[in-house]
Amino acid sequence: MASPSPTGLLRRGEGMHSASFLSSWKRILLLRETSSLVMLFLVIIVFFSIAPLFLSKENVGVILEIIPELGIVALGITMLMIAGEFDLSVGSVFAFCPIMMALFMTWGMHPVLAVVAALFVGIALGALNGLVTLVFGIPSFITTLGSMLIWRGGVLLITGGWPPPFPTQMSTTILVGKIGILRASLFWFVVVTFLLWFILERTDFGNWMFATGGNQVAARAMGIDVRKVKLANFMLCAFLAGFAGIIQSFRLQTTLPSMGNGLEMEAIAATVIGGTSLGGGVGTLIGTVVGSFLIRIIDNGLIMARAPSYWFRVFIGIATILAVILNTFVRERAKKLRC
Amino acid sequence: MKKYFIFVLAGLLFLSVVSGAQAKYRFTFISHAGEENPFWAAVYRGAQDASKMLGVDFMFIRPKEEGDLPAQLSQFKATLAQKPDGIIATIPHPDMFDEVIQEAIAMGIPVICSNTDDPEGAKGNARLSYIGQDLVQAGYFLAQKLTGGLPRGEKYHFLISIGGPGLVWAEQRAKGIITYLEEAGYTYERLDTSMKMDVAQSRIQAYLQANPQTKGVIAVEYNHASAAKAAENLGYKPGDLLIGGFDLVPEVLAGIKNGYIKLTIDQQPYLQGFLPIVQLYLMKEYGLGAWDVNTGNAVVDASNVDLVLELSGKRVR
Repeated sequence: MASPSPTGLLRRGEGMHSASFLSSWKRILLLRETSSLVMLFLVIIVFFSIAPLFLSKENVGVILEIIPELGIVALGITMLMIAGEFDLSVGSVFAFCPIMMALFMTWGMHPVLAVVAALFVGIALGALNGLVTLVFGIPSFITTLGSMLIWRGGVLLITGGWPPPFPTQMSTTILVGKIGILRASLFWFVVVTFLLWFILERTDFGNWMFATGGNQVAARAMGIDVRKVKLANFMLCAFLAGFAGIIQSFRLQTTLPSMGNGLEMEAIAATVIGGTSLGGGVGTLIGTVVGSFLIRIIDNGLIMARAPSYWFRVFIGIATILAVILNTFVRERAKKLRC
Repeated sequence: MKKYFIFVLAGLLFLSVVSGAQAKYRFTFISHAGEENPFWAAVYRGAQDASKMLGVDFMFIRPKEEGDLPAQLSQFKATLAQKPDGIIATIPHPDMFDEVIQEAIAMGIPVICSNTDDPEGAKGNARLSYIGQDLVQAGYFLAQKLTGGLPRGEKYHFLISIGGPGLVWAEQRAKGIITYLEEAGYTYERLDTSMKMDVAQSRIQAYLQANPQTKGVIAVEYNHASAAKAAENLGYKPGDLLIGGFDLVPEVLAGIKNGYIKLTIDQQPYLQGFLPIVQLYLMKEYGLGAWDVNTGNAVVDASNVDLVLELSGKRVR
């Protein structure tokens, strides 16, 4: 996982002290978010020109209501990946937490308490992922591949295939209430994005994360407790997956054992499209937000364009590879630009 | 620059995929069944044939994962934003789709239910009609046909394969099957087998090994094909196990042919694609009302498998 140079620190340095002699054009090309943003605009333009209804009020509402659920999960994955680890179990946690919430409520727990308790279950699942990975020193890919199956099986075991009935006595306004075409979940998505951005870019902890993911040995030599940094991010990632799952169950007024099936792949694709490196130490949250938009928009746009849905996988595949190629190429080129 | 070249290429690819032919009516079929589910090929074929005959534009939408209801719901909403002339949908959840279908009808878009209905039928959902099987009754009918000839009240044990636990269509059929088995005094166990045939086969095989007293396997989907392969692998002779289920995918027909599968109940998926298109067309063109169709309890066994095999080659059955 450790790469030879702490590129994350370099990237952050570039923006600060070399701004005076870089043209703004070069700086834009050097941003990791650029290629995904360009792709996003292009995709929107293409879909709009094929199907003008794509940008109708109703359809924008449809897109904005499904993006936060993927986006919040992908943000957690991004943080964890920057710290140099991986989580495949997010899709299962996404189903596990809402089911636990519904179960707590059928046991007579107060709704707010049940939501909080379910989120703590999420944090505990993340902590388990982290502890197993760090104590036994095995790749998180393996740990979370295992736990992905375990939690999903757990969901089916607990529910026996039949989900517990969604408690109707509870108000869902705070998480998914609607104002016009906008849902409260979009607001939460913005809040989470801002909070994580602040932690990552403006606090010591953010610096430790970049250092831990970029070069663990160097980070340790600097006195950073890399285990604590990683563990915290495992917990954060699972917490966000559970939170997003609860948002979805609130929106649909149901808890399904199949929720979040395949979500981990979409979340990882969103993260990678956004410009976060699989190797750790490099990444951006804004890019992940753009990546989440891109994935959900391609999904929706293909329907609006009346294209067979089979194309979805093909396009997401192309977008993922293209984003990484562009990121590599454009940045290499831009570095050589004389300004 | 290279970048723009790649973008232009991607854009062109996009455009070439999307055919912009303008037809008189645009109909959309939104199903809960995943893209890997072979049963739906015949539904698709039926809808395509009807669309071609009537000259309407038809689109088929399925989630990427079998039974991904949140995805189906958002696809339904995206379809609504597109304002098609008619919608055909499966209703695999008792109330998740109530609101959107109500909304579609309020917008003047007729919605016809195919294949899987609200468990409460017309009372539970605003859809105009249901074209498909009466699921509970069909489950009962299957169990009755399959165990016909067995003495009632004996201690026979059956495995029920449930490919979609918690999904309406699977649970409704299971309900019918269980009702009959309990009436007959037999014991049973439910097993989540998934809709993937290879996975289902290994799970059923393991179950049969662990529970050799099992008298038969009843599938609420097409996993009786997997059960037949499992039985063959374990060295059972054709007819040792009573194996039956629903639908006519090629593997099921092969199983009937070699004797491992006793019978399958065909719900005639071709009709479930063909008839809704015809209905929507007639409703649009002549203002006719929608009507329910029970696409049936067609039994396929060794006596008629050859005819069905021939039609299956044409993807009609």
